[in-house]
Amino acid sequence: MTTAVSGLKPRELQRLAKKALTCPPEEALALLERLGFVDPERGLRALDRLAGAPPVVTPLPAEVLVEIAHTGRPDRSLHHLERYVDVTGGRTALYARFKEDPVLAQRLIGVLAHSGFLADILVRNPEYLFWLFEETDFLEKPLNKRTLRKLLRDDLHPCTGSRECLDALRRVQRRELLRIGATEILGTKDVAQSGRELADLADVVLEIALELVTADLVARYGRPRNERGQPAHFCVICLGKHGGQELNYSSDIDLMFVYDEDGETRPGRGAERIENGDFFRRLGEELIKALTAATHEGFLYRVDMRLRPEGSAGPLVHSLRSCWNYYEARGEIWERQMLIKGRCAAGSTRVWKRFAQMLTPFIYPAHFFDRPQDEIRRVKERIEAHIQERPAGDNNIKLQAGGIRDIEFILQCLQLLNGRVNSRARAHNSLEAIRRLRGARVLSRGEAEVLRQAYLCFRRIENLLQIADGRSAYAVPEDPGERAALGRMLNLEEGEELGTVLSAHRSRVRQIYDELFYGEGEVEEEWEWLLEAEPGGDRPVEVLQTLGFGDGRGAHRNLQRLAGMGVMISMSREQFAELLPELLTSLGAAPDPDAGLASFTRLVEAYGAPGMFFELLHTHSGFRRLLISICGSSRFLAELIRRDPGLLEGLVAPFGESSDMLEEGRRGDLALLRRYRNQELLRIGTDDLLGLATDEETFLRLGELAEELLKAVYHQARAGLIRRYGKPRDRRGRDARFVCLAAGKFGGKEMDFGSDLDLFFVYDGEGVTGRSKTDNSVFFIELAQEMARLLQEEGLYKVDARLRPEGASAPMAIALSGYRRYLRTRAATWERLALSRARVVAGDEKLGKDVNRAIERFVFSGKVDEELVAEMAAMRKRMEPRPERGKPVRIDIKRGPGGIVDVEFITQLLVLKHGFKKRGLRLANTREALNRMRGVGLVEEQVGRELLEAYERLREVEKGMRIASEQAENELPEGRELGVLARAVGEMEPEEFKRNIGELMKRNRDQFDRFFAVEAKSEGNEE
Amino acid sequence: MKKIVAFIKPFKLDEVKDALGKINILGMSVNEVRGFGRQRGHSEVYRGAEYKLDFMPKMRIELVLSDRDVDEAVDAILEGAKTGQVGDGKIFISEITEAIRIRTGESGENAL
Repeated sequence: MTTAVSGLKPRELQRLAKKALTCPPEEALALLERLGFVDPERGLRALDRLAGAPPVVTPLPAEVLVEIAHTGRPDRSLHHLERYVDVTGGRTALYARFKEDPVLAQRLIGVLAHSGFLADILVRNPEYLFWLFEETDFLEKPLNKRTLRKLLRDDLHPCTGSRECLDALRRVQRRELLRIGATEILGTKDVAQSGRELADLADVVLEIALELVTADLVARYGRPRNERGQPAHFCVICLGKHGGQELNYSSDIDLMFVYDEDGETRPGRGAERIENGDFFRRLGEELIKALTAATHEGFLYRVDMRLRPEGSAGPLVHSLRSCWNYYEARGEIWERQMLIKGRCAAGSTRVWKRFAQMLTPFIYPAHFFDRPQDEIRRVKERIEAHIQERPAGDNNIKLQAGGIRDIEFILQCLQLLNGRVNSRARAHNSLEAIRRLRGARVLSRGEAEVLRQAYLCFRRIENLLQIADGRSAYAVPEDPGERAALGRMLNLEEGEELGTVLSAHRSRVRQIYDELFYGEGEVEEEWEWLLEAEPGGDRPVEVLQTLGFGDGRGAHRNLQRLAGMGVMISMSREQFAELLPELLTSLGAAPDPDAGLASFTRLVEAYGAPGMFFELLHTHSGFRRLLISICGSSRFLAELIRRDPGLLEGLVAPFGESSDMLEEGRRGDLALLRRYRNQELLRIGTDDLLGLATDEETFLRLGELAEELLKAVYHQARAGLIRRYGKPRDRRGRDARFVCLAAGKFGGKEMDFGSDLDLFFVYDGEGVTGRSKTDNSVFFIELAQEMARLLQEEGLYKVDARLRPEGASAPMAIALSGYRRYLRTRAATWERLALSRARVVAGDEKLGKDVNRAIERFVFSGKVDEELVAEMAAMRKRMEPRPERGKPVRIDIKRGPGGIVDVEFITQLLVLKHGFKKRGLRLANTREALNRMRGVGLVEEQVGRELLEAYERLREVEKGMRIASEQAENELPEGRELGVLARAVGEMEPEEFKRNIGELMKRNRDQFDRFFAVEAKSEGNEE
Repeated sequence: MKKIVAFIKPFKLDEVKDALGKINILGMSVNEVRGFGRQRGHSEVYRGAEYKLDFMPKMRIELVLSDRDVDEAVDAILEGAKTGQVGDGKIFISEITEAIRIRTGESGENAL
């Protein structure tokens, strides 16, 4: 290991030091030079004086000179040591202490080498040396505010009168600065802790000073009271680094004075009565005087009051009310930034709480009229321009790009942006803010680490620079020796150069800064000219086509229409221009740019208030993305909103509101029921678009919605018929019962957008209705008809009731006894297939169970025989679309060969076959059933997986067709529409997409043929 | 004379104008405003906070009428503006002490 003294090993250093203290002067000069002295002659003279004349019995220990050489700044260390020894007298005792306690010597020299400021304090109060290194526990142990307060108050205890107390306060403050400064130099506490202790010190000093000046003023004027005679209160708010509890050694402290209530003082006899405002102004003035006045004991703090409302031009002290009036009306963005760091330093915490509570909505506003990034960037650019005028030099760690200021701006900006909705992101301390912004996922792990490391490094340097001479310095010294010494105190690795370390930190910080403040600006192009350009001109059309709008002319027309909307009553055009870049790029990249822009245009038109609407979009990025994404991806959802813009409000409304709608709809308001349906469809579709729900969840939710609506319609229709006919009762006077069953996709809980409802209705209980004595069968048939009518006429769902016994020509509802008989005797074999997915969706539960039992008995009445398999296969073939002569064959993903139905048939076949023995396999949902069959090994793993994947993919495409285009078709579209669909389901190349689907369906069909041939054969063999 | 100020959903403006037109009330002033009402601060369905809206666009319509027309006008606004959902808006009615037509100097109801 080598020492700071170039190339010397510790033992050699020791030897040289010893020699230098004893050898003749000429030799000593050379040795001192070896030890790193720049001015050996001066050093030698100092050593002579330290030795004393005549020399003291105990000489200066060589270890001390070693330490002096070790610091890398021997000239300065020795100079300060000499000054200190000079005032202490008693060298013998001191040197003896050095001899027996090398750590004491080492620490003292360390402090003296680095800081003239602390040396001055020691020279002024030499007794502090032993207090510092031997008495106080807090050179290493963290000191909290409560203990500090107690220490200081104890120290002040013997003093009387404010003047004497303030002088004592100046002394102890200086002593505490010595302590904290020494911890800084010796590195016994980290930056966060020293910053906190410095802020605590300032707090306690303020607290005590405030008490002293308050007592004086109260004696003169009495206590200030409000109009009800209760005491009025005063609070000292600290801001900036002091507020952030990250104070340094010699900046000003930023303060603001606030009091709560107006009124008057209530003086004792002979004293003067003044208004509270006057009292507190004097209090503020006296406090500042106490803090800043320099006596023979020095001064406490420099105070900066310019951050208060109206700055230097405004009154020194503000009431809560006047603060509010000011910030509400005239508060600027920098004031929000500055208030983030606000904290109660002294005085009434109640006033502070009211202040903080009152101003939170100002600091973290609900929305910004300008993006805060833009505003803060403007503030920052002003500051940077100012710096350009007075160059701070490359070495300024505070102001240069990527420096402390940049970090603070990043944190404040992110807190302003996120603090409103995420109160966890609020913090007045920078390191804490980094931690919290990381916790709130606003900063990435990497970014948080870059900011933290850079901040710690910069602040440590800042502290070391300031403690060196007690002035506010931010420039890293040019001198290589000084830089090297600083590098050692920062514990840089060997070979690391301070300059390189700093510039690495700065460039990493600046990168984050640039991304935040300029990131979007860089890619942003200027589009506003499009709004002015000649409609349909070549250039706009060309530009819009490049952006992805196939119909550039149409897109241009829509843009100009949007820009012109409502110009008579609003500033909508400017607002719209602001939206243009995101609108164009997002929609351009959407599955359907042209329809997207058209939908957006119609939607804004339908909503009205375009100016406010654009502003709403402009200030709410989440909502903006949501709406653009809906328009760009789903004609179906966009059209829902256009027809009823109120749905958009429902989309951002709290839960619970729409279920009220359902409740009222159930009681008879059909319009509300329709609205509820649309509202929920929009929710489900939006979740689906945003990827917040899986396809499976989407299908499930669609089924649940249908069930809710069906139940509501049932209640309503039933109530209407009861009003007309009275209640239907059986012969014994009990309520006759009714049940509605679903089959098909609704039955299997796998509905899509736009699926029909396959329904049939069963009742039980022969008899007549209460009032009109109408036959129950009439009542229930009408009930079923009424339900179907309401569902269809109100546009809720299309109803398919052909599944009922005897099909389309039979009455809509059938009695249970008749239904049982039908299932036993006349039901066709294929009906086993359809009814395997039947379930009760509305009506009487108990009857539902009875019907279900009857159906189950029928569906699983026997083995799957060859006849059934053949019949199923034939039925499947009949369902296939027949190609029309002269028309190109389109791919029907549902009914076409290898379509969704193939997989459904395979699954139902398996369910019928295996459910016969195992009840647990009687499953209605295709996915669930296939999965289960695969799980229990009834389908080969590989085959099962392929079938599932094919099914899921086709269902996804089917959903894409419904949601993207609002068409209930099953055929893959051609041309442009094919492109839209392909993009909607995540494929870029339309023809390739079509090819893929074709191949997938071919594989499905192969499986279908295999299953139905195999089943037919195996069953055949068994017989 | 009375002044009616109504805050309604923007997309209900045409219906309100139509309803007022039917009873021959044609003159009014209309403004787009930011509505910070009960709807404010709703927590959002989608991904929590990001989609939260702080205000909703509203239309502010203002008309001055003779006392006898007020009830009818209020009914017309209700008919046109109601959707049954939160945020349908409010109607405020206040007394007007005088009205003067600047061109002619007519005053009172003649100026309306």
